[in-house]
Amino acid sequence: MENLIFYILAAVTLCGGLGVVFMRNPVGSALSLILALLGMACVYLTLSAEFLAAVQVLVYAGAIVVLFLFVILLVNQEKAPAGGFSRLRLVVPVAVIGVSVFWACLLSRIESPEVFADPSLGSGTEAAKLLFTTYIFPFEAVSIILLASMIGAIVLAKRKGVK
Amino acid sequence: MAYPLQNYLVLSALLFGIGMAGFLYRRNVIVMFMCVELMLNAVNLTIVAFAAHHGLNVGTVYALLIITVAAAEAAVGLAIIISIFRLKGTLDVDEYDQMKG
Repeated sequence: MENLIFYILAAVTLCGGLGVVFMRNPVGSALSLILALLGMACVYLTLSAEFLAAVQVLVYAGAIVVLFLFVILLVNQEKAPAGGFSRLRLVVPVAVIGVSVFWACLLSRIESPEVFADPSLGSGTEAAKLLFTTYIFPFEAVSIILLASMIGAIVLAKRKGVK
Repeated sequence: MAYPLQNYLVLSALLFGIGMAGFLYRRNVIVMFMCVELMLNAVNLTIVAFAAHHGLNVGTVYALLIITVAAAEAAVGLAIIISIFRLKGTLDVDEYDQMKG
């Protein structure tokens, strides 16, 4: 049962994902999202992508989910209807999950070789070498995207009339 | 630790399905947004798994770029959510009907 560790990680990740969908409270959803993202980071570790796992924890679990939590706390949900579940549309997610489970069963039928997890593959050094030579243009483009989104977020979230 | 490629693909497919189902099922706009992040993560896992399968090094780079774009998207999306919450006073997407969609 050498796959046991992977199954545990996958179960944690999927439980986090299901928690995001089925938690009634949005704060609970955000905390479940953290669980799912940490599980994903551990799965990255099994692919020997340590740098990516660290980035996943720092950026996703550390920054994005905290942003989500700030917004959840900022909008006052006691006064406003938050919108829970729509009973009528329950058919759609059941169909989607059914199709994806079917697809997963099909995938698991395929005989595939084991992933060759080269320890040097996912290290920060190798990623940085690529990022600063071959992929320097996407790297710079992403920095412009970040700047644009920062300005956009400030402009959008600014209250009207506040100069 | 080496696991078959299909393990990663199955996990990714299930996670994508959960995210998509949540996006269709929930009406809270913030939770819908979280489900989008879940789907992005699932696709990221597929990219990294295939890159490791082929012994390539670019998987980390692509995943890194996707994470950055997802962060930018989250910032802008949450700003839009805040401003639309000020306009409508609700997080329920069924109430967002100005465009008669």
